[in-house]
Amino acid sequence: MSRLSQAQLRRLTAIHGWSGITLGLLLYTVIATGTAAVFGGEIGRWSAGGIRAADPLEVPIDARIRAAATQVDPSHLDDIAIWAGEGRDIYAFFHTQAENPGTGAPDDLGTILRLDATSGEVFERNEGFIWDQPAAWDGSALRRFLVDLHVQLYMPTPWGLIVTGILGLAMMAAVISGLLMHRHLLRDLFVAERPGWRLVSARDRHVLAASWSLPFAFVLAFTGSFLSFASTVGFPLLASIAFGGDDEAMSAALFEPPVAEDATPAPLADLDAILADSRARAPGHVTFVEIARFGRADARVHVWHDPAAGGVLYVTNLYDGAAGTFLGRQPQVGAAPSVGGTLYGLMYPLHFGHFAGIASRIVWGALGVALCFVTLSGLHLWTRRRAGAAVWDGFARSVDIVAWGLPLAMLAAAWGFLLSVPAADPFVWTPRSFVAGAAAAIIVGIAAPDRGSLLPRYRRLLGMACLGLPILRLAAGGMSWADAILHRQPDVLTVDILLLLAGIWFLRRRRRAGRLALEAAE
Amino acid sequence: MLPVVLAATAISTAALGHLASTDPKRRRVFHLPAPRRRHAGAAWAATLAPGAIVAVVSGAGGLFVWLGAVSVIGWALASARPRRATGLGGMVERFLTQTHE
Repeated sequence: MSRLSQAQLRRLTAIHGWSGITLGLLLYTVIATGTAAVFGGEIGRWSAGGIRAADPLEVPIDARIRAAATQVDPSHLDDIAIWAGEGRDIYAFFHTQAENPGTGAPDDLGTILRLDATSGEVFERNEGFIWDQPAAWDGSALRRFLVDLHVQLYMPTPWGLIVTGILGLAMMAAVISGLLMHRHLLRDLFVAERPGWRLVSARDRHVLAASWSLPFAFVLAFTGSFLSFASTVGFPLLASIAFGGDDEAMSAALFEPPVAEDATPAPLADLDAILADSRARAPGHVTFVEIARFGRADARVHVWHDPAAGGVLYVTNLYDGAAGTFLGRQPQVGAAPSVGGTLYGLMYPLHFGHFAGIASRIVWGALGVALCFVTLSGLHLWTRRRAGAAVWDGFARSVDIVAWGLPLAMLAAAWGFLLSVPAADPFVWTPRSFVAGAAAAIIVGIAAPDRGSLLPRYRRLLGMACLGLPILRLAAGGMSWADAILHRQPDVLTVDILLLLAGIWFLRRRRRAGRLALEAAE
Repeated sequence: MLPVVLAATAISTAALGHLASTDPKRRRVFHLPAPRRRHAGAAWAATLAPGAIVAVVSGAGGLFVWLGAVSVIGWALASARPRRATGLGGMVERFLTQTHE
């Protein structure tokens, strides 16, 4: 496809290979956890969800929010953020801005209530700088851990985001260099792995998966890198250059239309009527509601919606909070629709893949699996070419340990979460269990006499871990299958069945183990 | 949106199955006789045209879902070795291979 000199090709191969070797295992971790995070909603409802007849933001919530507003410090009524929990519950976060002594930066300080959207019963109440307390705003420690691992490798902010941003750049470099290196992309598009488990077979496997997933690899790497660098580098730089370091001025210019200040007390218009009107204008589910300056004449209500059928961009409708009148659709960025705003708006749905409900999530999950395969097959190809050298043989075993150990550690995190739910803090024990699972996977990997015997061991462990999870969930007081069927809660049942099928598949499938043994022998 | 995307994906899958089963290099690598007819242009058109229909009928969201699905299915079809392919891809491939040999 490309016409490069031998020297250029060698340089590109070196860039492609060495960037993959140095960052490949971390990249695999980010991609694998990202694949799980695509199903974050399902994981959340499976692990922590209760029975619900409708999405809690689809039922009347006006009376709940007004009642809750009387129970919080009046200074926390500057801003109210509302979103749905995993069951019939909603979170209502009443807050204002204050300097967080932990970071020295402005942060949201307030009171968060977890309410039953139907009865108004308060399940939980927390106060302070809420974003420092994940248990206050996320019902599932398991989902939170997997998402944190994907977003910032469970490292402190902003370092984790910078690392994942760099990984995104490395992935883009691998995609572009791979495209330029591969001279016969279209000609090889249907060439399956050649038999015989030769070096060329390993190359076929990597090239085939990489070729088919090329456009999405670039899109996911670009959007992921953008999302990582936006808050750590992009916006701070923009604030410094264009707004003299004033973050609030930048935020107002980019995301909040100007409002003439009017502190005159005025009751909030009927929130349910606002939400009904917003639904009529944007058919996608309501995902988030923000009420700015509650109880004042200059109150504004933002209503976020999932994209409508066939759409990709999220929709935000803006209302006058006191009058309840529709003020217009909020552009993604700035005061008027723009190409830049649309591109910015595309970053989130194209990375998360939940713009078309379960259909897009399944496809994005499958693409995630394909990219895991590309990463691992690339690492295997590199080590295969250098087989016999002690350092690369050791690295090949490390690749196997990480490849199989990561899913095992993720399952261990789920075990730790379910075991700790009844009696301990899942936000502490979920990450600890992941570490324990990873340590066990490493010990198994090191203790195995050769690489050929690794795979059957990992498969056995993975199979048992998968099969045990639904049983453990039920034992920990999770929703029964009868309730799930009776109340039409498909998430719980689907995840349980998939885990059972995966467990059976892992325990039964031993065929490829022999092939790995052959590779090790070679 | 979903029925249109599913139908378009099915048509693209069939066309990709044809392209895979009649691909000259793939057949050469696996020591299979060259197919008499391939009609690669028409097959590629049949693969990609449903995407245009999806874009018009189901919008950008449908187009991205179709594109992602075709990428994954294309990989799965191409990964399956000739004569060992199973499932829908295998059925399509076996049928087309027999037709074209």
